[in-house]
Amino acid sequence: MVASLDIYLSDPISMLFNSFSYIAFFCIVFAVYWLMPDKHRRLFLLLASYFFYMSWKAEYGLLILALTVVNYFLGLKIGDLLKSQKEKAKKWLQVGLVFNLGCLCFYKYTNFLIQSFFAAIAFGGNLSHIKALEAAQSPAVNIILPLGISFFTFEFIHYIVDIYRGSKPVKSPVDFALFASFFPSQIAGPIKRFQDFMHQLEEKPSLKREYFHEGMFLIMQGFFKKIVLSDNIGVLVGQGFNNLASLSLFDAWITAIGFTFQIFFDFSGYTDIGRGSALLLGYKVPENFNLPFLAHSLTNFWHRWHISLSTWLRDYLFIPMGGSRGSAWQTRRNTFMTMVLGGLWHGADWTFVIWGTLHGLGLILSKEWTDFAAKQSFLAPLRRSKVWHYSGVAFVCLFICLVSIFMRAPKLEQALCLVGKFFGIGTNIDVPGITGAVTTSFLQSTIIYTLPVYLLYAYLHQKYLTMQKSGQALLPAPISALVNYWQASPALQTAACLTLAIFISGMAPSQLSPFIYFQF
Amino acid sequence: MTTALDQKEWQPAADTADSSKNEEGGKKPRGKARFVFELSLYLAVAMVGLEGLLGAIGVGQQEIMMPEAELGCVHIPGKMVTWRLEGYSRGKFSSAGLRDREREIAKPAGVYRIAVMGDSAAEGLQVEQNETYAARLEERLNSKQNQIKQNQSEKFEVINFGCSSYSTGQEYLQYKRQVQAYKPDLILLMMCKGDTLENNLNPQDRNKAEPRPYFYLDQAGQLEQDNSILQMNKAKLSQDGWFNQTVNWLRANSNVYGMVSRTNFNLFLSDKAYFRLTRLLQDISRKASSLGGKEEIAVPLYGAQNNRQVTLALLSRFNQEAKAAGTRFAVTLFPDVTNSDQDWKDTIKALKDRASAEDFDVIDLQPPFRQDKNPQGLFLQYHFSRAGHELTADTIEKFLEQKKIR
Repeated sequence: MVASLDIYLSDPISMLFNSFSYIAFFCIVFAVYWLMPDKHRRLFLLLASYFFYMSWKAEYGLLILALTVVNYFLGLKIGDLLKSQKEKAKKWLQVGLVFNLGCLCFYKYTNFLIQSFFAAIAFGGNLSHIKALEAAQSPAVNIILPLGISFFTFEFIHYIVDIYRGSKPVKSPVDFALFASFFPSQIAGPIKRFQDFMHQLEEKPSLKREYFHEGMFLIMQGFFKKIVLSDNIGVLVGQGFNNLASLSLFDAWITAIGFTFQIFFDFSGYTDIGRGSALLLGYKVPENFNLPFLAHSLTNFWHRWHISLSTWLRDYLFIPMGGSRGSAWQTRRNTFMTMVLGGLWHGADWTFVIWGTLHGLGLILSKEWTDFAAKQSFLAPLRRSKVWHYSGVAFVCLFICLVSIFMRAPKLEQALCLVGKFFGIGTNIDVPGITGAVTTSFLQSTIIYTLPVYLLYAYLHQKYLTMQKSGQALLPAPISALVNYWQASPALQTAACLTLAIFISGMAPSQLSPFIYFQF
Repeated sequence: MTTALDQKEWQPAADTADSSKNEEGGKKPRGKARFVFELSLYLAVAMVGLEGLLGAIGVGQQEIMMPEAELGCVHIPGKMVTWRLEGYSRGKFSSAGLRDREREIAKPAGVYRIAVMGDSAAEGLQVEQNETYAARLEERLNSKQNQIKQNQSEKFEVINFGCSSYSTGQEYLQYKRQVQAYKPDLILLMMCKGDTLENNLNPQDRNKAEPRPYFYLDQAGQLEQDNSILQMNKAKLSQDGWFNQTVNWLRANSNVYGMVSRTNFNLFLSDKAYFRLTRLLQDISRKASSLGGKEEIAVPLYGAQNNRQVTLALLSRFNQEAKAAGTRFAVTLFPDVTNSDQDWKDTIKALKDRASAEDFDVIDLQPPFRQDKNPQGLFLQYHFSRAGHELTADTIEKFLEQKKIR
């Protein structure tokens, strides 16, 4: 009997948001959570979060537990010392920063630093030295990157810095541990702020009708983005990156633009499922995206893309470095450094450093151009026109597509190869010319139907929400009547939800893909 | 105990009074009934809409097989298929369930008929139907023939009987059951590396075996058929009974069914929790049905089998029966461009020895595929690309020329 049970119980289950395992896990958590007495809910949610996190690797649980315990006591200590001995509090803050960043660096950057160090020696040495190093394949330490470490260490840093800045430390260890491990945002954010989270805990979350509706909507939207769009685009992108040498011009464009869409739908899909799950448990976690591809400048793009990270970088890196309070050169330097470090935060590789560098340079040049254009009176009519606005949107999209190549390419030379092909350098211009295998796959895939439909829906939905907020006359009468009917009919909503679930599950490619941001 | 599911939290204040009134007046059950009625109505409308949408964009049309008692499974006749699992194709199976256009069973006079048999490699769903090597071979043979003899009507028919997942044993039974009636002059049986593993069953794997006919060599070295797994799955494979008939109808006609079935299959393969839950339910159901005292199934007793020997015996039998019906028999070997599998190399050698001893042909695709200037372009992931099918047709055409068949 034990042996026959082994098949069902052995080998841990990783609970990706887009897996049956997660759906089953969440349904159980949801039911038990709301059925149990209020006083036990936090502890139950904490245990569920640890179960969720440890489903990947049980040892990970010890790491997050250790970090939680240390930061909990650091918070209390800094809070205590702040009243009388600010200098000492600062020292403890520094200890906390070194501890958190040390953990992050150890797990994420050790091998990168070792390999970069040896590469630098090799670069300074002779050829035989390089060959010897290649033969030895550079020394590497066997460290497995714990999932979500980049996200939760940033939350811990935010916590101790904000305590030092005057916020009250969290007294309850359960509440603090729940903040650190809350499973809907544990692996890839959004990066929460503890003040918002604790405020919600104090208010005692309840299952409100609007939370339920919004939560379900977000979860369905997240699954749609991840499964129907991102994973199917990912198949084309994978085909492109696996055959870089033979890409045609169209292939290169589809691969580069495809990856930008893939990562957006992947990450925003993850965020939607996470936010939706949190809402069903009665919690709100911050938004991370606001139609980033409608940004008209790079600065505007970073107000719309991975908002919880960009605001974190602003509050805990850019501003402490001096922000924009100093000279123009200091501002440029701070912007540049923030983006380079932001790039390195994404991954321990030189491709990510280049990604951050290009974003830093892009932001500086974008700002310079905006200032320059503002001073030119002859440009004033043009600047007020839609042509100017949409030219900015097109430029941002193009820039993001090109820069994102460095995030996806496993090696620098592959990224440069694709960038070259994007501009027609080294592409195969034989008959049939600019089309190729990836283009053919694109034309045959379901993406050709689903992507335009989703983009149109997203645009109209956003427009509807904007109009609703501004109190404008909303929709034509027949559509308005339909919307009202929809809102008043739980049966219609349930039927639509079930139909959409069937559609989404059936559109999945054959293999389950993990979320891209899990590796960061 | 207060839970958040309490009415006050769940419903807006204005609704709360109504709901208590409803409870008192006994209206709540009617509300539930109305909800169920409305939900069923909306779901029915939504499913019709979804069917139309999926049909238009060609989704949910990858369900190509239906269960069958003798072979385990067969193509669904007349099925509209849009294939995206690897490569792409869109088209209909013939009314006889062939990946081909409609074909007359009776062979017209003056026609040399070739039956292409095999598994997914011959079926070629990864490319359009007119790009498979069977279709390309027919086109090539007839266009050359017409060049030689002007105004001559079609001389060659190459019919594609390829069927995904078939083992050599299933192909042999398919020949007897379906192909023989077409009176082919030549059979081209595509054989792949994995085929030798599917023809026989090791006794210890009986509980997880695919429902299909298996073969074994008895103590006297005679080839025998083991139908016990088919019999164990008799209820599932039967085409009788309203449930099986409904499922088969849905299989053949519903895109939504195709979509759900594909999801089930994908989850079973890729999601550990789903796999375990499904296996648990299957085991419980199997144990429950065994408690019901079902009919005894005769399980032939034999020891561990040699995969290669069983396959070679099958090919010998296939060749003998084809010859007896006046049909020439040839095995086409699927290319292994890496040439790294020693077991497959040994199988090829043994097969070639058997072929020369028993007078059947072997067309080895390995040399032309390895000599091609872009061998990777001949495959998609596992199957032939358009170029791979073309090269296969070219190789077979050369073989036919060499053997003076055309």
